[in-house]
Amino acid sequence: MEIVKFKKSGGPLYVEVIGGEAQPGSYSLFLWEADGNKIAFEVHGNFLSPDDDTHKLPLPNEANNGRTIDVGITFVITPPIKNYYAELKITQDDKIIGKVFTEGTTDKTTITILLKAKLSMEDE
Amino acid sequence: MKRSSMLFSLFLISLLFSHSLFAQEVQFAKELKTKYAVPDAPAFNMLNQNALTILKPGSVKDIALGLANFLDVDNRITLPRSLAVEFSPGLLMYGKTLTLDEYRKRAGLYRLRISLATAKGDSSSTATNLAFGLRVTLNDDSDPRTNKEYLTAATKLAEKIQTLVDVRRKALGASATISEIENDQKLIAEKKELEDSFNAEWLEDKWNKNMSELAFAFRAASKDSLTKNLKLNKFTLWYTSAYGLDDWGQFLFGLNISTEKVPATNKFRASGSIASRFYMGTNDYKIYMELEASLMEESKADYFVNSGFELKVQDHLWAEFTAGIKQDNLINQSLLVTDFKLKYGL
Repeated sequence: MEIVKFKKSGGPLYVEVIGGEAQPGSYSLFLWEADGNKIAFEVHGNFLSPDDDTHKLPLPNEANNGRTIDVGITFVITPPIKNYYAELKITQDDKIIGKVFTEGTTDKTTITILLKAKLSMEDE
Repeated sequence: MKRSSMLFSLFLISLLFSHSLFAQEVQFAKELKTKYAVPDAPAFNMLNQNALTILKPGSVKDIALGLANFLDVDNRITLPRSLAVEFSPGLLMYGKTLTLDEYRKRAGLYRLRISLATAKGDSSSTATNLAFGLRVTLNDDSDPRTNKEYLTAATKLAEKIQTLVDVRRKALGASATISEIENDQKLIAEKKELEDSFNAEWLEDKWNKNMSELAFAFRAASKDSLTKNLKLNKFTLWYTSAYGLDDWGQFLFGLNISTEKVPATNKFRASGSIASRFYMGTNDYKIYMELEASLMEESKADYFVNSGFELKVQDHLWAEFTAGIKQDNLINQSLLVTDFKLKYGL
């Protein structure tokens, strides 16, 4: 799993979910507590518009240390394009501090994928 | 299955009928004539001896490949001597990170396609032809990405499946993998039911939706196999409109205007044609009949009655057989024109 380092003293963390290959779909973002059994933050979205796919993680920043960003994405594969691409981008102070993506091709009607990243606070 | 048998029988009957009626005056003419099983690339069409009046419109794919001319001068099956590729530069370059919203805002740009084709002559002494084509889709009702109702339904389907998946994710915790989550018979069954219902409503045959396209192509020939000293010798412009009839038929109207260099005079001669075609069937198999009239500068009009059968062999592979009668006023004869073609769309 991708480890994403962030600064405690920096601005809030933002997570952007991107659906590529012009495929319709929806997603749900879970921010798991460090122990992995409880959800600290949850948000849902779809790919009809990219304007509402950037989400601010809870403050204070240090509370996110050890938490796991877990995004489940379901695409409806819409012919004639059979490719899919999903990306999870984490930013702080307008800088990309982490990126996770997956891509592929399928003949299935739908495909569900997971993108995960673990947040780790930098020593300052 | 019944419909399939009926369509095939109709096609065979039409073939037998046309052949027996004109048997006395028909001179067999083996002419390559690309047809319309999958969208025809303008450049591929350009290299045919008989450029089509109707360039069949079709939804954009990032890349499609066409092969043709499988017979050599002795009518033996050989490696194809015609090869074409058609691609959408927009989808090829930006497809991976292309959002649905971006596609919808600039659908015309992503539907724009470029085609390149090459064809070798029958022997080493004949010319190599190269062609370049450009196709613009003016409207495409078959494109689900610009259909708001489809997108709403697809998004709802994704949300329902995601909700089912989320229940499992929450039960399994942060470390769950997708295979662990999807390895659940109840989830599998519910997902399949949702997908089947969606497919029944939205992914039935959309082959005959309304559509219109404009295409342009030019051809250059070289006398050697290394394609040196290429000389432009043909330009063609096509316009095609397609109108759907319920879920079983489609009417196509097409016209083209062309100018081609005549080897004897080394001057360009203009020509034009107009055609209509009627399809019956489904996306996977269909028959058609067409009528075409063409007029060349300083000559009488020619007429062409044609029929064809298209079959989807596999997911990306199409086979096509056509047979028709061409009234050629230049030689004052009726010609039987047949063709077989395979096309592959990636």
